[in-house]
Amino acid sequence: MINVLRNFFLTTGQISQFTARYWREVWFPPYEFQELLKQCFFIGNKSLALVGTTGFIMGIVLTLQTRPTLIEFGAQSWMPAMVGIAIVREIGPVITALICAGKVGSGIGAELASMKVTEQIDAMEVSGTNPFKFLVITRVTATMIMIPALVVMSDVISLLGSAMVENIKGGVSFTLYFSKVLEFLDFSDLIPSIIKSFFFGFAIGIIGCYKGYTSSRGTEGVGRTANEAVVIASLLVFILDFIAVLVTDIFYEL
Amino acid sequence: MEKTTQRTVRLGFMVILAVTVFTVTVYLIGQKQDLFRQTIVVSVQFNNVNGLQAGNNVRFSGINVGTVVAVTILSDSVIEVKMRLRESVRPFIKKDAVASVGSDGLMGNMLVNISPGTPAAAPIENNDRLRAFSRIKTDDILQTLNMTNENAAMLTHNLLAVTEQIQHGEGTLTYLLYDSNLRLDLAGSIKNLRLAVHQTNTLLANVQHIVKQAEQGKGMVGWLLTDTTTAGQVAQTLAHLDRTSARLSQASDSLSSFVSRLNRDPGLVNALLRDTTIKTDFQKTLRNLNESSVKLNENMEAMRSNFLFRGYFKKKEKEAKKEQGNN
Amino acid sequence: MNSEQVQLPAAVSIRNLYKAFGTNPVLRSFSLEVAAGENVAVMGKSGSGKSVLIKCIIGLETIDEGDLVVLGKSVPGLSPRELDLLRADVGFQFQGSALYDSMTVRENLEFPLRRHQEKMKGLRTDDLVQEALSSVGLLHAIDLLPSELSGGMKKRIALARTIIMRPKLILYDEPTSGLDPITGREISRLIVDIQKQYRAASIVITHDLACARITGNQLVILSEGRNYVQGTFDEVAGITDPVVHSFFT
Repeated sequence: MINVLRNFFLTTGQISQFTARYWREVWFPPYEFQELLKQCFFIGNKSLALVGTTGFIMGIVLTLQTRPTLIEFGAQSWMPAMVGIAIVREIGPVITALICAGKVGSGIGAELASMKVTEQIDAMEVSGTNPFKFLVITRVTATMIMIPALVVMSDVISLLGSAMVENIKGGVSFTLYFSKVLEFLDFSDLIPSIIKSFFFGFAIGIIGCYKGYTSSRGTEGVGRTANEAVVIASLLVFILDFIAVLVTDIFYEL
Repeated sequence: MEKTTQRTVRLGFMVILAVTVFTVTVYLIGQKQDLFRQTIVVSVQFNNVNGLQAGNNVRFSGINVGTVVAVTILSDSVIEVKMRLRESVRPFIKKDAVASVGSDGLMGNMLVNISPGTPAAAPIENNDRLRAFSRIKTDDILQTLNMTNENAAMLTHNLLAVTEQIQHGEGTLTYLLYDSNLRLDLAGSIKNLRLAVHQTNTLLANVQHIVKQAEQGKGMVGWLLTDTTTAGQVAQTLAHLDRTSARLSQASDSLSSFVSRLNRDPGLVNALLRDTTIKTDFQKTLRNLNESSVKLNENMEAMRSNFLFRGYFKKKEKEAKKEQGNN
Repeated sequence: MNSEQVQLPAAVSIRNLYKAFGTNPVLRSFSLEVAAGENVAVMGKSGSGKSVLIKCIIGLETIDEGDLVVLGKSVPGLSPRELDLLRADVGFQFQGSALYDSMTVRENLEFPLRRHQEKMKGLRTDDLVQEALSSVGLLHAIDLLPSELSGGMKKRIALARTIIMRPKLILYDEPTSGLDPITGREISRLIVDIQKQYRAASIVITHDLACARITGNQLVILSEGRNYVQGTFDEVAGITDPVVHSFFT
């Protein structure tokens, strides 16, 4: 029991040190812009289809599930507002972050772990390239940039799915649907959700990198690393979301 | 190696602790925004708080200035509400400010409203007690409103009936409003009145003329006034007149007493009016009248069938037919 | 020895090196001198600390005690910047080749040049890549990915990447591991060729006797965390000590 607790604190401490190192080093050259762009492309481009599909289905399912209840209250006209707020505030960011924790987080974890195991990270260091800057800072920054972008994409695609259901089932035109959504949404919905997406992206990146960068159990450790990265990143997404909601509460009085 | 591990574990512990503290703080701030502000506590005693709870907002002239900290029962009819208010609003809330329990919209949360009080009074102090204003419960308001509503409904109903009657030409008001004859009559009356006034004028002129002649001893009046033989007759007549007027006066007195008796005792009139025998007599009379009119009709019929008059009646019928044919 | 040191500073000079992981010492009181242009093969059992030794030399591992001077610079006291400059002059061949999986051979070779441009001023990157690849005889593989290469080819590409910076000291970590004896011999010969071509000193960590014989002017047996025996291959082979003898049977 004490050992478990100790390990938990140990991991937390190491992640904290890792995070601190990121923030210490991110400001100073050399900046690996080329690699950053490459990672952004990988993370954004390769996750777009997955995030889009999930978002689309989430929009459809959410609309289908809430329709009967709203109709019971005679409030179908509130559908765009309800689904819009649910997706933009909560579902879009969290679902996207979880998907990316699974795809991007595990990918980074596995990639760095295998690089670590095959001494590629050492090789980089020997080649005069700071592997932390080249691998960690670029990837974490890339997730931090790309997750919010993916969240926005996912929001839009989710709303498209929802609008499609409303169009087919309720005869609501796309124009009407989106103008209603825009009527009800304001910046106090969008901005906190974008801000928390940055944190989600940072958490996913930093956990993937930490797990990969500190992996040391040979080839079999690579799989374990990927797995742990996903678990911790997903957990962190929820914890961050909880804190984000509390903080948003203060600033915007939901 | 072991040392750095130990340090890292400690760091991890600190981080978890910091995150927890941060979260709890943020939560508390979200709960009651007054956590780090300077505050004062004031209390107020109500008879009924209508479901007010700790955590409800306190409003001063519509601005949120604090929250309810505790609602405690002091006795069976006194409930004390403790409120935490921002220090910054203290100068504006006077000692004689009045607190009341209200609600935030129809389905909203309960809240405490504080109205400012008189400007001259001193501001409240920490731990002061405000005066309470027990507002009528929403139910009561609704009930009163309901009664008012019902009355209003009845009133409008009656009004509707009246207007309908007017429109359909019933009642006096209609007559006044719509009958053109009446207007003409009125105009006629006024004309007559004018005529009467005119005649009165001429009459007066005549009287003046007569009086003048009488003064000169001319004419009938002059003669009456100057002739001594007639004077005695006139005196006689006057004495008769006097007697008659005395008797009239007597009669009018007794009539007056009779009327006053009637007034004093309305039962008498009622008895007269309700007397069944009178009623039946009246009915009888009517019936007789009816009978006689029927008999008259019969006589007429008989007359018609009489050969003497038959020709006349037949001629009449023919003329009527002819007229119809022409038409 | 002294006169030689004055003429040419030793490529590597290690005295009483102590390195422990946790409470478990790996190297204790290890000493070694590598003269400029000299080839030293280091043999030892698995887990004897061979890899740790060269990682200490390149600064990937920090030493606990002792003196470590590489190309005239004391490694423990170097700032990161100075360490980078030192590393530009030291090639390191990793055990598993450590080619970057996501990059082509060309990109792999260009990678070390990114950061050490001041050293390679006036030389075109393309020329350097071509030169290094032709040195290992794999010019045709320039646009392949590491996953498309065989084990021996990977070792050669790694070698090319090591020499592209024209190092003064090359450290080899098990250059022949995972290869068949014939390919291993080819690699060993290549190491010797390159050593001649670039006139670099080198330390070859190996447990392959054939490799040690081909590459090493000097042979060091690393045992119990120290320099157990040092001499030419034939000298060491003649020693009858059971520890030394176990390597030759």
